[in-house]
Amino acid sequence: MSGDRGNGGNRVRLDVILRSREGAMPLDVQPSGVSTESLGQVIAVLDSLNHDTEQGFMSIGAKLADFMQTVSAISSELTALANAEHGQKASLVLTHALDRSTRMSAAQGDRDGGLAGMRREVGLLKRTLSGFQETVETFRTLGLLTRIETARLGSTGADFSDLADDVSLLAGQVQSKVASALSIADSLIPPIESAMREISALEAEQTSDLPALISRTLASLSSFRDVQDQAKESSNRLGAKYDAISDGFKKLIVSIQFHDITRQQVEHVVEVLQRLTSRSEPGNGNPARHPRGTSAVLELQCAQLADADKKFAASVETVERNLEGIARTVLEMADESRAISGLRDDGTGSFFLPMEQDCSAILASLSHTAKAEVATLATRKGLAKTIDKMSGSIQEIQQVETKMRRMALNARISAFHLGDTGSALDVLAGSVQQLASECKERSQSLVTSLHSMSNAATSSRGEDVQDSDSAPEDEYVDELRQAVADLHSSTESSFALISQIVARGDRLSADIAATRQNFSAGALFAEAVARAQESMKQIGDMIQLGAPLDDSEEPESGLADFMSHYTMQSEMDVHQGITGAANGAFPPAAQIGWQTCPSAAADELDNVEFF
Amino acid sequence: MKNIMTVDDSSSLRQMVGLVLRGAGYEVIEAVDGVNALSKLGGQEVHLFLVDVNMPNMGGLEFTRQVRALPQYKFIPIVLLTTESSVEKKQEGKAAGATAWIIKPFDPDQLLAVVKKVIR
Repeated sequence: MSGDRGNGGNRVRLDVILRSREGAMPLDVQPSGVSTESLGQVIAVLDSLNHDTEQGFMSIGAKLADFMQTVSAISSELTALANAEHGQKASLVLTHALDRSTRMSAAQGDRDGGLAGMRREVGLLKRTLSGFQETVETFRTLGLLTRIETARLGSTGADFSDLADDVSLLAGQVQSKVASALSIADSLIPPIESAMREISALEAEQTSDLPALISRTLASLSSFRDVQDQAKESSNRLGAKYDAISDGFKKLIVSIQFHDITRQQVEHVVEVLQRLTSRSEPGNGNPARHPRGTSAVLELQCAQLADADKKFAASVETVERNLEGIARTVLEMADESRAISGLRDDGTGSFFLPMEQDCSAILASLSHTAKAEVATLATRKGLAKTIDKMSGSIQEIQQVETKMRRMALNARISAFHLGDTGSALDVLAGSVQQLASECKERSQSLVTSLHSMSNAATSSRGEDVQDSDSAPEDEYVDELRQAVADLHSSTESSFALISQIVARGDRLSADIAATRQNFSAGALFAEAVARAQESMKQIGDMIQLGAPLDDSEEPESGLADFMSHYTMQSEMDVHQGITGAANGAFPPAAQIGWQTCPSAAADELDNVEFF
Repeated sequence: MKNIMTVDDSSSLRQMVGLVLRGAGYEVIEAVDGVNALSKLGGQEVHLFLVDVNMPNMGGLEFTRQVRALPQYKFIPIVLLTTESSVEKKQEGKAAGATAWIIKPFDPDQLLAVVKKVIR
């Protein structure tokens, strides 16, 4: 297993080892003597390559873990964007705000008209009430005349003395109620004027600012919807890219397994060669004596390495291709993310910011409107109470009128019984009766005015407030404020997500590039394996040409012993191919190989067996 | 969360298998060989063993036999991962008490399919 050496450093060292041998004999095999040292060099190179490549695997694995975490995170973020929850929410908020704004603007005209109508009604009310003053004076006069006529008639007119008293009394009552109603009417005017001034100021402000704001926000909303659509399309494309990355990752894992299997195969060759050198004892100043069958062992190990270089190089190439594909897709994901947000390279320029600013401005404007609404509502509530009070006074006046009419009718009946003597009193009672009727018409007119005022005071409060004592527009602004706060929050969240996607995508791409750089040791590995094979063949050839042999070893038993150390079927196949072949001929390369890994689409149990 | 112990002397294979399993939401305990794996058990809950057959110190077959002798892990599934495909070796694995046999190289989806099938 490998130590803690850095992969980049190893790659450089390997490169130096290989380049130093270019043009020379493979490794340090000298014709004058096949030595343990030569085999030791083969072992050292292969062992070093094994360490290096395993470090490469570990580095790849660590990067992969990070890659997949990142891709998984990006995928989740994209899914959130694809669902466009933030966008939908913001869109709803804006639509809601605009709807409210439009309704509030429209309601201003109604409010203004309503208050003006009330002011007119109050004027009419006052004039009507003033008309009562004359009526009261006439009543008083009629009461006085009745008293004089009653006195003139003496005992005959005794029944009419009460009429004079009652007319005077009722006239006093009417006067008192009218005075009270006039006072109330006077108090109605100032709050109406005040509310009208506030509304006029508000209208002036909103006429100049709000339309522009609403227009801008509508444009932002339209852009937002466009972006939402783009995000959905991008999300679909990114989903496909994520699938491509996942597929690439799976292929990468298979490639790395091939890579690792080759590495293990080389490791086993190294172990065999180490065992071989431990048995080759150098004599005193003489070349090493090798166990009998060393040549066959070397030939076998060469066979074990046959195709290893090609497979290793092929697996490295596949790994690199997979990494390159992943890197490309990740960069495309980052670009898509930039496109979604409208971000420039410096991370600014998103349409989110101006849209949020416009929303805040609209909120401020609507908040102002809402305050005016609350003030107007308070005014109207006060007016409604006042109108209720005035209605009470008018009702009392009407009751007096009824009494007067009833009393006048009784007086006329009594005068009729008196005959000619009572004719003057009949005239007076008739006048009271007529005056009372005129009063009734006038008070009916007051009732109509009050009804109109009452309607004006309550209708513009809106349906939201009919049964509520709270200030509805306060709640409305709170709702808007919350909506804009939500928009702010979702905007920040979207920014954070998009920035993460862009940043992670860029970092991921850089990581992949760095990993690929380190992984170029694979090519060196293939070259070194080829050279090691060549060296082993040369060493074996030279041993056959005359190197001293140790007769104490039986090569066949040694070769057979290898069988128990193989961990791969392919190694056993190679071994059987070599030991069964005549004259040590290598089996064809095509016969040496692993079974291929079935694709995901193939039967998943092809290389799985359940017991 | 299910715990899976991976036992393999190849650190890169161990790492990759761990990557696949963790990505699928499993908790992974790693061991470098049979001896190391037995020492790490310590009574902790394991829902599945993924074991390489050929390892130094103690191979996958011997590890399987020893695990089957432990009452707590007697019925925990053991999947052997190996490059060997000989019938004899598979029979050895079955006799030792393994649940399944996967030949390397394997596709990550294959591995997860087996894991989901055997894990309890």
